[in-house]
Amino acid sequence: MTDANLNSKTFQPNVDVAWNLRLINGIKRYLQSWDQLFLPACFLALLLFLTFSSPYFLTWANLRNVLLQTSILAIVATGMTFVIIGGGFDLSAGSVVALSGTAAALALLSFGVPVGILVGLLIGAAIGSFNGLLISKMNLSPFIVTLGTLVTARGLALSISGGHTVSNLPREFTVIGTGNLMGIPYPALIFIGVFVLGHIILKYTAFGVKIFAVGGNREAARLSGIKVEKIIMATFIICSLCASFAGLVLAGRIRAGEPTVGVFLELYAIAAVVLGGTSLKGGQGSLVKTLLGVLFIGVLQNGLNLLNVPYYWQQVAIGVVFVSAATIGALRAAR
Amino acid sequence: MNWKKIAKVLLCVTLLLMLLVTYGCGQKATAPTPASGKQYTVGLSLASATNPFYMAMEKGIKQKAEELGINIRTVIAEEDVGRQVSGIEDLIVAKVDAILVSPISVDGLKVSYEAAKEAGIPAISIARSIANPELEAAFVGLDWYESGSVIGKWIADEIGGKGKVAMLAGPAGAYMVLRMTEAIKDVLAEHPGIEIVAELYSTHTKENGLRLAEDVLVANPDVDVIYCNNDELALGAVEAVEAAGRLGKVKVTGFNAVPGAVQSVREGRMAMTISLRPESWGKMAMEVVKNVLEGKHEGYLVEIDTLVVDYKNIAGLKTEDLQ
Repeated sequence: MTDANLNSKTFQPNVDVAWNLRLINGIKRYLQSWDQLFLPACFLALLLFLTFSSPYFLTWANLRNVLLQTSILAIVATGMTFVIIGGGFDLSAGSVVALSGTAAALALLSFGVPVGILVGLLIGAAIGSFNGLLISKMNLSPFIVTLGTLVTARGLALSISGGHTVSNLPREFTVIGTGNLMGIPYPALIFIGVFVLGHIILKYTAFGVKIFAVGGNREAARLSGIKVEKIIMATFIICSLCASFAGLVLAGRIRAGEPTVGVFLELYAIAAVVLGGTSLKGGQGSLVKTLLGVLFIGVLQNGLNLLNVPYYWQQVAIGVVFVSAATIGALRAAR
Repeated sequence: MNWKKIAKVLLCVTLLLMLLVTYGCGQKATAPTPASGKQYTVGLSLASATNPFYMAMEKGIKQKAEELGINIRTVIAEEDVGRQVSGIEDLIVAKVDAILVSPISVDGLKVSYEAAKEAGIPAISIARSIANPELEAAFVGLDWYESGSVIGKWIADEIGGKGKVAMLAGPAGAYMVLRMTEAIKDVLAEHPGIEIVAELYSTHTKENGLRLAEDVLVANPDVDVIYCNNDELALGAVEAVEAAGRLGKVKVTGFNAVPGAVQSVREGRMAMTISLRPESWGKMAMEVVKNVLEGKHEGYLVEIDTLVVDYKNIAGLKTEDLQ
C-alpha cells in the first residue's frame, strides 16, 4: 500500500482494506505472543496456586528440593533437546543413566574417583556413538535403535552389578550429589552449568546452527554442504553424555550405583522438551523452552506431593498436562 | 477455525477441572481430624500403588491411622529409587512427625533416612528395610530368609525330596529376593534328589510370570514345581501351566496371598501361597509408629504373623484370616 493510495480519496475502500489487514495482523501477532506466553503463564498460575494452597510450597527448603529433584531430569532433557532439534529422539537415556551410574560406582571403588567418573562418561559417549552411527550412517529409525540400546544398557547395568546396589561410595564422589554451595545443592549448580553451556553451543556456535538446519530439512542441509551424518551423530553423543553425567550425579545423590534407576526418565525428558514448545519434528526449539518444561514437570510433581493428592490422580494430572501441551502445540502449528 | 475454538475451550475446562480436583483432594486429605492430644501427621512412602499387596497394606495403615486420629501423607515411588528419595524429601519439607517407608533399595535409601534423622523425624521401615538399622526407628516386617525356608521345606515335602524345581526369583537385586532365593536354595540343597533347573529374574508382573513359565515349560517339560517370588508371577505361571496342559502336575507356589491367588488355590490351580496379612501388617505398623511418636517403642524388629495357604488348608480358611 503506497502513500498515494492511502491519501487519495478515490481509493477509500482500500484504506478500509489496509486497516482491516492491520487489525488482522495485530490480532495474529497478539495471538502469537499469547502462544509464546502460554506456558510461562500456566507456570506462573501453577506457582501462585501452589503458594496459596500449600504452606510448605514457597519455603526455601522446598524450592531447594524442587531444584534438587529436577536436576537429573534437567540434565537428561538438555541432551535430549539437541537430539530432538536435530530431528531424532533417544529412548535409551534413562537406561544410560542407570548404566553409567552403576559402572562408575563399580570402577571408582576399585580404581579411584577420577577413573570412575571417566568410565561413566566414556560409557555414555560409546552408547551415543553407537546410536548415532546406526541412525545416521545406516539410516535406521531412532525408535528401534535407541529402544534396543535402552534394553541393552539396562541389561548391562544389571549384569555388571549382579543386580545388587553398589554402595559405600567414597565421600569425594558423593559430594557431587549431596554437597551444596551456600545452600544451593551441587546437582542444581551442575544442571545450571550444563544448561548454560548447552544454550551457548546451540544458539551461538556454527555447530548449533547446523543442528537446526539438519533437523529442519536434512536434504537442504546436505546440499548446502553440511556433513549431516556427523551432526546427527554428535547430537546423539551429546544426549548420551548428558545422560551419563546425570547418572553420575544421581549416583552421588543416592550415594550408590543403582541399576534400576531411571525407568521412564527418557520419556519424561522428551515430554519436558515437547512441553516447552520444541517440536518433535525437529529444526526448531530452544533450551530455554526445555528449562521451562522441566521446571513445570518438577514443580507439578512436587506440588502434587505437597497437596497430598492421591497417587492415581497425580498420574491423571501429569497425563492431562502432557496432552494439553501437545494440543497447544498442534493449535500453534495449524495457525 | 471452529474446531480450534472448541479444542481451546475443552482444554481450559479440563485444566480447571483438574485444578478443582487437585484442590479438593488436597483439602480433604489435609483437613484436621479432631483427636485428643497432639495432632500427628505421618508421611507414608510406599513402593507401589498398583501392587495389591501394598494396596491392602495402605488400606490397613489408613484405617488404623483414622482410628488413632493421625493424618497420613502418601508419596508413591513406583519402584524407582530416585523417585522415592524425592518423595521423602517432599515429606520432610511438609514437616511430618514420622515417616513410614517401605524402602526399595537396601543401600540407595540410606540418604533419605539420614535426611529424616537430620530433620529430627523418626523413620520406620515397613515390609522392606535398609542396611543401616541404626537409622531406622523400627522395622515392622519379617525375616525373609525364614519365609524362604518355609517355602523351601513345603516344596521339598510336597515332591518327597526328589524332582525338578524352577525358580522365578523376582526382581534382581531386591534384598527380599536375594534372601528368599538364598533360603530356598539352602533348603533344597539338603535334598540331593532335587534339581534346580532354572533361576530367572524379572519384576513382579503377571506377564513376566507367564512368559518365563512358558520358557521353563518348553525347556523342562518334566518340571515338578515352579516357585514364584510373588503371586503376580505365580498367577502368570499358572496360566502358562494350564496352556501347556500340565495343570495339577506342575505345582506353582506364590507369595503374599493376594485375593486372586487365594481364589486360584481354592480352584486347585495354584498349589500354595503365603499370606502376609498385609492389612493387619499395616495396622500393626501404625501402632508401632504411634509408639515411636510417643517415645514408647523399644527394640528394632517387630515381627508379623504369616500363614501358609495351600490346597490342603484352604477349605478351612476365612477371609479375616488372610487380612
